[in-house]
Amino acid sequence: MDFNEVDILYVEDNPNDVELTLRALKKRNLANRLYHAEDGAVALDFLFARGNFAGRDVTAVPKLILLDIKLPKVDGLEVLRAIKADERTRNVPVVMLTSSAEDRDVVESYRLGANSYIVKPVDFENFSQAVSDVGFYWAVLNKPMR
Amino acid sequence: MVALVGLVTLTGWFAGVRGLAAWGEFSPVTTPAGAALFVAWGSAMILHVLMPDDDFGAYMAAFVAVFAAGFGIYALSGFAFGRPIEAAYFFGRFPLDVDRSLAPLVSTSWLLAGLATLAAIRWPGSRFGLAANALAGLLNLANLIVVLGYLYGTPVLYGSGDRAVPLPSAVGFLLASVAVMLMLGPGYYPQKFLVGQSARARLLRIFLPMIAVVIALDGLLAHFAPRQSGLHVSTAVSVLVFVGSSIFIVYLATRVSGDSIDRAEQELQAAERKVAATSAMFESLFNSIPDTVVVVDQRGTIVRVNRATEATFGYDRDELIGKPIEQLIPDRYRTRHYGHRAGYAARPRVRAMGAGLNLFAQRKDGSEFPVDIMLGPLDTALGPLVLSVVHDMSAAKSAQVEIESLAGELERRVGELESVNKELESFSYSVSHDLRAPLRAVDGFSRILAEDYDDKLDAEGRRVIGVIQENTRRMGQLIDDLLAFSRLGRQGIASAPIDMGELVQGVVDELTQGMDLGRLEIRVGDLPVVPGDRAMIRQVFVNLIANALKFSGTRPKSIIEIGCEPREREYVFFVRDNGVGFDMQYANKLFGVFQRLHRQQDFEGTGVGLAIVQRVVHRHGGKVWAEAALDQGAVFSFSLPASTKEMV
Repeated sequence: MDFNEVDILYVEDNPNDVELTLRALKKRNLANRLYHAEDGAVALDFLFARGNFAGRDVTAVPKLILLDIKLPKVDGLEVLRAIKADERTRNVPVVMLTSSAEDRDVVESYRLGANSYIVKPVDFENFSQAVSDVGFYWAVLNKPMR
Repeated sequence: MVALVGLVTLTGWFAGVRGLAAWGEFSPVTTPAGAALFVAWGSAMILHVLMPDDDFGAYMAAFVAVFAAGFGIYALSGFAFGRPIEAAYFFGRFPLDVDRSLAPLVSTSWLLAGLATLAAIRWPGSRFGLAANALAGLLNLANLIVVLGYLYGTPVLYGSGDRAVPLPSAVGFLLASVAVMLMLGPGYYPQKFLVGQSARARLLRIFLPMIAVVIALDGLLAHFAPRQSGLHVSTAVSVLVFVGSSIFIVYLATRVSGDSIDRAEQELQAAERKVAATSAMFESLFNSIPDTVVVVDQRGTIVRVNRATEATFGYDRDELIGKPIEQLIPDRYRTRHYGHRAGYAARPRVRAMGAGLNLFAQRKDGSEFPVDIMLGPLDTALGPLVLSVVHDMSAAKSAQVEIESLAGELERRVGELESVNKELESFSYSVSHDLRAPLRAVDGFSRILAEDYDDKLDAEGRRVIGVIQENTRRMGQLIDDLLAFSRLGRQGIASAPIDMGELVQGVVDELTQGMDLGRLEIRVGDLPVVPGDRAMIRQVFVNLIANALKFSGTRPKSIIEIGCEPREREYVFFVRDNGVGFDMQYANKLFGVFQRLHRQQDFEGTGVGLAIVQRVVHRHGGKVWAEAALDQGAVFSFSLPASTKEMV
């Protein structure tokens, strides 16, 4: 996989959620240029071309970052803060995709500059619908800044 | 009066009547010049006294005074050069044709009168005032002697021949001198003797005029008596009058002074009784002060102690008085206390001793106790003393220790509570986040099973998958309700006036959307505007009305009534339905979390709705209750305070 050709960066630690999400995105042909990071540290390495991703073009940013909040090592809000603090990644749309419906998470996410906040529905049909809609909107419909 | 004397004598001159100018056969006549001066002096003084603010009177008086003094000097100089002034020359001849020169004493009197008047008018209150008073006094004395001489027919006193002083002149001078002294006021001696409340002044005020009257009467009698009778009769009368009046005066003097002495004695006794009473009162006051009071002299010796001192320190009064104050101070502080005491003696003032310091006192048995001490200097007739009020702080100190330990305990508890609260919060957070994920997986993968393996499943397999999905849905609902309930406890109340009528109508419209309206009868009564948290109160009505709809859903027609009864300081809202009701014996379980009175297959629910209702109402300071009977419908009521004070 060419790390410079990634449209969607998907940060999620729960393998079941990953499988369900990928299934939903595949149905809309959105999973081809997707990279899945299993924790916040990997996500930051990917975005800023560090560690295993040294040599990646930092300016080749994805069209969309799907970000969970509760993550091992570096949590989602930290990742969001780093993304929005860096000139190169600031304009990449970030959609929080999380189980938490807590007000403080919602408020903090928007305060840090998240573009959207989605609570993962428990119901699978709703969940599939939400994930594929979000992927389609941001990765296909939305015109990013280049 | 002085002017009057002058006028009378002048009239005598003009009319040619010697009696008017001389007032008696023994007296020579007063010269016309003198008489005129008396008139002028008297008039000027009247002017001056009547118009104290007008300078004209003062100037006139001063001018007359200067003139009189000049006249006196001129007349005296006449004597000095052996050429007595022929007084009559001054104004030419008068109808009363008597040659008469000015007597030396009259000339001197004019000089004195002029100077005294001038000084009294121009410089009262200064040393000249004193001089004026002295001159006037001299004038008074000299002419008094002359007048007495005439009264008692004693030529030695008034002079003879050319040196004799005329009676009118003497009377005029006498009056003038009194006038000057009165003008100068009571600030000078001898006038000072007469003013004030002292017994001396009072006696003098009474007896001086009396003696004057007696002397005058006696003199007049002695004067006129010989004409009617013999010498011995006059002497007898005079002696009788004199003795009689003397007895009378002595009697009066004794009575007046005796009375005033008696009065003074009584007042003194009353004052002494008062002092004794006051002193006794202060003594008992001193003794009844609950704090220890110790009075110490300058050398640090105990002078007095009150009763509390004996009780507090365990000493008898006699064991303390005369001993150094250090006896009451623990050994280790004694040396330092000598220094403090010296410092205080140098700058005595009311102050708290060692505010904020831990001071200790020592009892007779050697035990110590914490004290608080106030010091105050006493300036007494016995010399400077120091008053110290010693307050036993044992109780306060132990109370303080108690308070501190309680405060510490409270702080610890609050800390515990905070950490428990934090734990709860993180618990609900993980419920929110972590319980949902596996549920989603269960639901999601059962869905995948149904989608991808549909052809391999039989009817029973599909039913089982349906049961799995139904249960995940319910579990999701439970989690959401539980979260909503726990969030209620943490959220702050945003209180604002709520129009309940509008709010309830909105809730009813939302809940009945898509329902068969013909099967429903919902009556909403008049509802007031009440303060509260709109979102929370809305949840209360949502839960209660949804319950009413749910439990009356089995009836042919649901009848739901929502209303309000205003009470004192609160409003009671109710939601009544015609549903299945419940057995009142389970009423206490209604509002518990996850408590349900109905089976799941009869009525769906998580058992959180009424718990939320109760929590919201409690946090608003109100109460919730329900009344029902099985199959008879139910009424759920809650109260809300009319003001926001009771919210928590």
